[in-house]
Amino acid sequence: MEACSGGEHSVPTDGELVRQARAGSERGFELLVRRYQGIVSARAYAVLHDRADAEDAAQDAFLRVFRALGQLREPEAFGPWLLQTVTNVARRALSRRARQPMALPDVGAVDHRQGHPEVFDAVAALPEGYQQVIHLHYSQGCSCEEIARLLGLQVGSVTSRLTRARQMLRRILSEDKHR
Amino acid sequence: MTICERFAHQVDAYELGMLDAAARQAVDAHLAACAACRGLLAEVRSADAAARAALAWAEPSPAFAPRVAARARRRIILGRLAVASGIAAVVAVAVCVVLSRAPRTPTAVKLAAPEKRELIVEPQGSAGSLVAGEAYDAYGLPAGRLVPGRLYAAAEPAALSVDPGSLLLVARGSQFTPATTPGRSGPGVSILSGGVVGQVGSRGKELAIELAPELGGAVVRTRGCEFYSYGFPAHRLAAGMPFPAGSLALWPEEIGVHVFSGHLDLDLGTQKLALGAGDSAVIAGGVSAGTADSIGKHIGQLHDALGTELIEQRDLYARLRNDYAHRLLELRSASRQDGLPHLQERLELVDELLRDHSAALSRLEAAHPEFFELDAAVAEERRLNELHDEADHALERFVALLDNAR
Repeated sequence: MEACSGGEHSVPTDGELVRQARAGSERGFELLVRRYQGIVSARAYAVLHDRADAEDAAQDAFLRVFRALGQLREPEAFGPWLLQTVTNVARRALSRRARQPMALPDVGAVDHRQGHPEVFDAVAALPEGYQQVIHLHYSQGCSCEEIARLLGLQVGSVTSRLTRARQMLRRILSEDKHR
Repeated sequence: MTICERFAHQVDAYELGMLDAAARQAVDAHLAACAACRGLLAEVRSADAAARAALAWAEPSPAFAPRVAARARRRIILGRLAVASGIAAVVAVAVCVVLSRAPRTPTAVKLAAPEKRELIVEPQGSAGSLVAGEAYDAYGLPAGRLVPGRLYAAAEPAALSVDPGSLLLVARGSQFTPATTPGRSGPGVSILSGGVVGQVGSRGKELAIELAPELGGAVVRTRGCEFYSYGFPAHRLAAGMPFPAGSLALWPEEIGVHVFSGHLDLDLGTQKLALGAGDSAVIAGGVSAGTADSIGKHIGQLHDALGTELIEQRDLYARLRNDYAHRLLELRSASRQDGLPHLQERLELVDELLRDHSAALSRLEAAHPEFFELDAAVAEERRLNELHDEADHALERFVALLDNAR
């Protein structure tokens, strides 16, 4: 939740933490992990719909960006870069999972969609760009400005995207209810 | 546009706090006077609450950040070592040794094929171990850990243990040791009770394995050849996928190949090997298609080509297929049948759903061969990442040794 908790002035920026991590500071990287762990896991969960898989994907994404930290031209763009990475990692995990031969589900596994399957299905029916803002908005409580910063978009385009996504989500949920 | 219509357009901006003060004040004034718009706002807020409750994401476990940081620490060690004079060369050598472990000259060994690839069935199911030969699951896919064509020595540990009631088919020529009569080995056996279930063989150019419909398994068709890595199907050239030239570049260190029909001419540079229908081989020393980064870019392009919708659709079909297979296994298990009402109807329904989803998955994959290329690239990327991890571990051990020596 930290990535969307608003910015006090004393808090180091992403760019400062990236520069510290590049210089070999373990603390700098750990702070980045703590700042983004919720949002990264939520993004992975939006793709994988499985909590354990999402946490694995999140961990994988952090390690990948850490490995490539030196290649990041604009340290302040760490957030959008990380979110793009976790999206890619989660999609790959999805591909792998689909190809597991006879990987039978755990009998005792809990369906995390339990209680709200219709909402998950409705979100899954949205275009991907809309899913992203919906997840950041509802699961992380991010404002339009925060989403814009994280995704590297203009606030105006996030606002219109989020507005359309919310309207579409309500329409799908309402159609489901009347079906 | 009436005020109510305007509000219907503005309600999201209102809730998101995106209206300016004047517009917000006007909306508040209208809401105070209009019951219909208050109703609309209540609906929007109720939908918001439902979405928030459903999508609320608990933070990862408290151990998450330290765990990630600990793994990253190994990289930091690498960075420190790299800048330390005199040690950098050693590190570079250590990394190169680990990363170049895979031999660069591919070689292939042709394996003896089983005499006859035919599935047979015994009337009684029983638990036991398969010690030789090959086995297939209900979908006609090779069951884990048994490489078709590989002959398992009797002295080897059981290659595959099976439970009674499993939907496992064993090819003739395989050896199965039932748990009830240890030491007995015999010809092929199906663990499933019932009549004749199917055949493995070659018909025309396409058919590899066909299962009788009453089994609930999908018909699997393969053109050309099918590949296995460590006994597991490596889906890069799976059912319905033609064999593309140049695929060798993406093979991992060791991969098995079985030609169901047609032929496969392997040109490995230093070695040529011709395989005909029914032949199997193990190819070692596949070379990487590039770095993890270049493969990652390739994966991204394939993702874009397929689109998220198709990828998710495939995942859904695969998960549903596995889910129904699981339910079918449970329903067919004797211990679960006691007192279960409408057992036959349940079996038929699950069987039908299983068949539908298996067929849907096969159709989807056959229509989009990029899926197999994607699988291959993902597997290769994973292998390279494992090598990187291995290099990290090696470096960590090396650093520990240096510390102890000081």
